[in-house]
Amino acid sequence: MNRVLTRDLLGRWLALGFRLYLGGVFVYASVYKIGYAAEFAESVASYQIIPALAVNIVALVLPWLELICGAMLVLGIRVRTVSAMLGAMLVVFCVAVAVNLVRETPIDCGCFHALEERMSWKTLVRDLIWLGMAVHVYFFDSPLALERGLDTKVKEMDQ
Amino acid sequence: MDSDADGTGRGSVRAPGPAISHAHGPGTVPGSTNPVPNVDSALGQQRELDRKRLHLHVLLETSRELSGMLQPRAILETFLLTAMGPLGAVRGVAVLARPGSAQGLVASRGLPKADAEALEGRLPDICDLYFPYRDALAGSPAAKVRVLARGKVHGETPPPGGESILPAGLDILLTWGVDEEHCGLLALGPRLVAEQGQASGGAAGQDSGLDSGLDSGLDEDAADLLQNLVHILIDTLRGALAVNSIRQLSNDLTRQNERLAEALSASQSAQRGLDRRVFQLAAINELAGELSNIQAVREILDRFLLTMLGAFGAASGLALVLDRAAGSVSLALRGATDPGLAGYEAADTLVYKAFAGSGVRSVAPLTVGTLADPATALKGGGLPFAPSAAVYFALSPQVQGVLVLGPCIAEGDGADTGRAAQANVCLGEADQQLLRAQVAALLGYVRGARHLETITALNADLTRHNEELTRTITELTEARQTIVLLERAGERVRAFLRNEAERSRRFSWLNCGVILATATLLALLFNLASPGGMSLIPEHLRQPPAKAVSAQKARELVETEGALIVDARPQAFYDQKRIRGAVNLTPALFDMGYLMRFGQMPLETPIIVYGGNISRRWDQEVAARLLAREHERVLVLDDGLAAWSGRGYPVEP
Amino acid sequence: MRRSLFLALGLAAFLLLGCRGPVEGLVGEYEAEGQAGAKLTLRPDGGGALAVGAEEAPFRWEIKDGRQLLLHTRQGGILALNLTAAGLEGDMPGAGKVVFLKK
Repeated sequence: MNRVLTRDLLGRWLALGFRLYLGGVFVYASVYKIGYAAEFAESVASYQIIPALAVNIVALVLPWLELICGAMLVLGIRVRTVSAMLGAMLVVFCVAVAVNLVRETPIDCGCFHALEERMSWKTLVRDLIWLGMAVHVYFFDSPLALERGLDTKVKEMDQ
Repeated sequence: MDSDADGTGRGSVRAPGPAISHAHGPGTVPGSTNPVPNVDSALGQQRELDRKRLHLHVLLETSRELSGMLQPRAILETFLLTAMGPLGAVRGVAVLARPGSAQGLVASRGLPKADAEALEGRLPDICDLYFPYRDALAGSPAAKVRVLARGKVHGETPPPGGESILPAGLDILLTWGVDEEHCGLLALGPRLVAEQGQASGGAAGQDSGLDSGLDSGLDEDAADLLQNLVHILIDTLRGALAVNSIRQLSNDLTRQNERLAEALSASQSAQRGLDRRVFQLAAINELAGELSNIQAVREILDRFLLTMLGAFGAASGLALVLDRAAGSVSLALRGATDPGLAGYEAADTLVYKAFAGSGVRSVAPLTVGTLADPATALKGGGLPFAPSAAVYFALSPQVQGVLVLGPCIAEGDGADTGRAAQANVCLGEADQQLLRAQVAALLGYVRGARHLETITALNADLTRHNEELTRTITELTEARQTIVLLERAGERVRAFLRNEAERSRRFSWLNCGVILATATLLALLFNLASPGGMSLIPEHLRQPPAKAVSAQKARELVETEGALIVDARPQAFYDQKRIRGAVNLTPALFDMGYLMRFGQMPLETPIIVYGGNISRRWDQEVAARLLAREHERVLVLDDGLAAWSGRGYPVEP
Repeated sequence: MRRSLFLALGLAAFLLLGCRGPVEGLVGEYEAEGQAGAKLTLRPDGGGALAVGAEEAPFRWEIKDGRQLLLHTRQGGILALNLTAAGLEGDMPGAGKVVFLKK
């Protein structure tokens, strides 16, 4: 019983917390970038990873992707796919951050705002933590999801 | 026969019968064959002629007297009267008898009354005595006169008491046959005058018996006359008998006719009755055929009543069936208007009256009782006509009824109407029985109809139930189909939802693509709509690239011409590492920086811009802007800071 | 459905950015100390411009954390000025530290 409860807590309910947190972070992160796309484009360019031709497009699309995925994660729609996408994004971010940390490029993270503290290893750790959350959400079903409710209803109907 | 033809051809006297002619013949022959021319002979001839004339006269008179007479007794008496005189007999007896039945007539003259009556009484004896050969006579059609010599007869066959049968003195005795049945006897008594001139007796022939038989006191002429007279008598009797016989036959015929007419009328009457019965039976038979096809009680009653009225000749009638269980009345009424008998109360009253009047003790099923006196019994029953016959019947204790026939239509038959009027009932006993039997049959039909009604009602009920069942089944089927449809739809929805749920739990590249596409679309749309939108293509690609300059050349320019070095990278990069003396001017803050720093700078001063990477050519962008602000010499440092610092040129900090 | 939802969310976020706090006091014209002719104008609609002589460089401005004034250029540049008692103070590109005094 206790084990079940623990597993439940560490699994589903933790997943729910991660889901809401991660989704909220991404939604929050996307808002400023959507509003000031040009500034985000400068941040992207500062990373010196994406080719010049793609920078603007990535700078335009990425915030929207974050917004949509974050919102879906919060609402609990296609959680697994979304968490996978967010995880993939986080992997990219981590790689980018790591690369630029190695390069010692003097740039801000550009994660939330144009003017932030300088990118550091903490940034990478933070991203890795978020990545872990995304992985957790990917592997654990969480309650309070729109589509979970749907699933429950389907099960009720089947009975 | 020869002599007969001879006699008739030559004789001047016409005898009425052939026998007389023959008898006359022998008398005339000697006279004619031997004519005597003398007076004596003339006188004798004269006498002879007178005598003959007298005879003829007698014969004429006799025949005249007798002609037209039809009564045998009168004939006999008249004959005696006329014959006795010429023959000179004092007494005479004439008998006409029917030997077969020992009956006859006796006429007598000159006899004492007692003798005459005695003769009447002894007629059978006379028959036995004098007509023993009647059987022989019966065969011959012609009459034969026999002269019986009294003594001879007696001598041969002495009759017992023969003397006492005929009074004494009746010496001349003749018997003759009239026809097959009748024989006659003539007996004449003693003659007053003895005739002279005895018969010669020379005559021969068939009548010789006569000669020999005749009394000696009777001469030839007298015998002849007697013969002729007897023949006349025979003829007359024959005629009279024939007339009488014809009259008798005629009477018989008339009587037969009358009887026949009576029988005919009786048979006609019977025929009428038979016809009526046949009509009734035919009507009833037809009724049976009709009733078996009718299924409604009311209709059966109506048809039955109609047939009964027709069969029994009633002008009006009523048939009523009362169902106490159902409280209903089936009424058929003909020839009158309904005075309210269709109502249950009135019908009940009438039926009860009929029940009381019929004398039926119980209301066992199929009881039929005829009302003896319908008029009295049904009085006050509310009948609209005078009942002439009524039958009570009970189908069951609950279902009873009454059939009432009204007054008869008057028939042409006097006897029937008379009888009907007498009994105030137009139905005879047979009719009553027939009516009763028919009512009994009606009961069967009514019961059958009631059963049929019950069955029909049950059937209708069954049919209705069946319909309801069918409807229910149809509805159920429809409902089931609907349910199946709904289930299928539900299944589909559920499958969809399950699929969706399943998909939501699974990673899907499709969803990734969809989300990515959605994000791209939204981003582009938003960028397009936003006032601060940016171009998708890097700005430096839109302008022609500025002239490039090597690090070496750049340093020369700085040292010789005081060229300005511009660091186009963001400030952090500038702060981290820059060419010594370089000014930071990023494309992002170009306008501000330019205004703050380059406002007063001469346009001919060479400007060397550096700072670009794989993602952004800030140097090119700045160069383009500077060129746009009409700086004459804007150069882009090849390879930027890397080339500069690679050559060991001074950087800071 | 989802798209429109997200569009609405995006618009809401944009409007949120547009909403400003107690910025009425900052609106106005500033003059650069030591550098003649440089003027900074903050308009109440969120727009503004840096004017040197006849030329102007437009920007949008906003308050961050109550103590910083952020200037956003259309090209994607961002400039942070500190709010001081006298006015605004910060590193201007190409000019170093500049103090703007409110007129």
